[in-house]
Amino acid sequence: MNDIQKQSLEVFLADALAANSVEIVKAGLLSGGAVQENWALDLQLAGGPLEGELQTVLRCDSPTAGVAISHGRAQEFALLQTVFNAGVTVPQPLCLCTDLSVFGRPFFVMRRIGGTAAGHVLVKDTRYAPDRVELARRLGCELARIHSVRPPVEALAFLQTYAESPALHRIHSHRAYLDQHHTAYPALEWGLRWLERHAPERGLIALAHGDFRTGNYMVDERGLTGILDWEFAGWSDPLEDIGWLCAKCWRFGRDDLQAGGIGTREDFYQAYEAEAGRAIDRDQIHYWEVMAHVRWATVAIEQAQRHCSGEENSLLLALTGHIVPELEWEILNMTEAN
Amino acid sequence: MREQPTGESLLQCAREVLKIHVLPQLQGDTKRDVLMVMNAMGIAQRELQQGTLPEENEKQSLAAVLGEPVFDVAQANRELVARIRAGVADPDTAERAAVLNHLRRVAEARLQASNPKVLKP
Repeated sequence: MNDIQKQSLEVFLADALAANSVEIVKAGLLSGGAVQENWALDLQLAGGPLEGELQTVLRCDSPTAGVAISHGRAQEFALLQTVFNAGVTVPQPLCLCTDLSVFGRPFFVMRRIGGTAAGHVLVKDTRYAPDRVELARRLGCELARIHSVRPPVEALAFLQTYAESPALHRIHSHRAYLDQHHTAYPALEWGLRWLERHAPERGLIALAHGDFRTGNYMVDERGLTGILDWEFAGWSDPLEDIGWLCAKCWRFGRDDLQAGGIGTREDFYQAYEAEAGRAIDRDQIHYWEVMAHVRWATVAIEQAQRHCSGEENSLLLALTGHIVPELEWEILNMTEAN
Repeated sequence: MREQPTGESLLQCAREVLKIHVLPQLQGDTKRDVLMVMNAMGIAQRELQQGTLPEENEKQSLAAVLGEPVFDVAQANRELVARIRAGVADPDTAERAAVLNHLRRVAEARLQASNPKVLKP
């Protein structure tokens, strides 16, 4: 971040946060996702309702971002505002800027939360969120609050709506991707065919996080500090998020703790049910765990392709492609009986 | 004739150096990066070990399962996908067991390279 960007940000932030003036005391690039860039900004505000020190994160597209399925910054900001108002623990969204003359790219600013999100650390190191029963329950409660947002929501009009069942909607989009890819994946098609034959009908439709799993929420020494990574949110069957969190491929090696490698299913389910006031149909969850494996495999192929096509040279993306055989193996295990 | 040792054995040797001498001195992001490098070297080493055998086996197995000669593995896999999608391997079909066995064999060979730990009981 150069001085010109910094000064123009300070002017923008003073106006957006209703302060007399804003000083960026410290700015540092955080190691972010493959698609977005996150800056830690320590602000000093003079005047206005937020006067004093304010620790924030500025989020913008990374210069090489190319994933069409993730939402733009304005949309992500609207999502964050919607779920914040629904009582979900997220970093409080503060302001949005779509004027490219300020920072060169659209961005928004939110309050900074502390802790770690790294899944492989979290499942092993119980100094983070030491009460894991409480963490599993908390995740159940948070997810139920996310699912309390139901269509239509005017601020979320950009989210795709569709008439078919969420299951078939997913199946069709995965097939569309795989059909245009240079290599065919018969084991994934086996899984997709199983999903098609067992697809549940369209029922309750709610706001789904779309990537609700260990690795995408932050915890500190006391517990959960926020649900992150909203770029895949959309309207879906609420069971899709539940299956995604519980799927074997997202337990980071802790298969004994089936809710995200951090807790038991029942602790998670029961807290969800208590908050939602609605029972989870446990017989349906296996279906959505198969879906989770097929979806993760398709995303992994896409990520590896970003490396293989030369678009982005990345060892992480390259290795992600090598997760696919493991996912196929699990899909065959999960679907061979019927 | 290529110079000895082979690429496969060089990768194995280099990976050992990283594991024994480099990794213990690292932490945080650098440690994570070196673990990724070691993972990549392991995959490359196992692929070299397998040689062209998996592809030959896949070709043969595809020919058996499709009931026709296979010249191009990629094309044959597209044909298999089309058949699975059309329901040819659904429950109560004659082909189901053969298709499932084929998919398992191919997935297993790919796992042997990508992540053989999964295959251990």
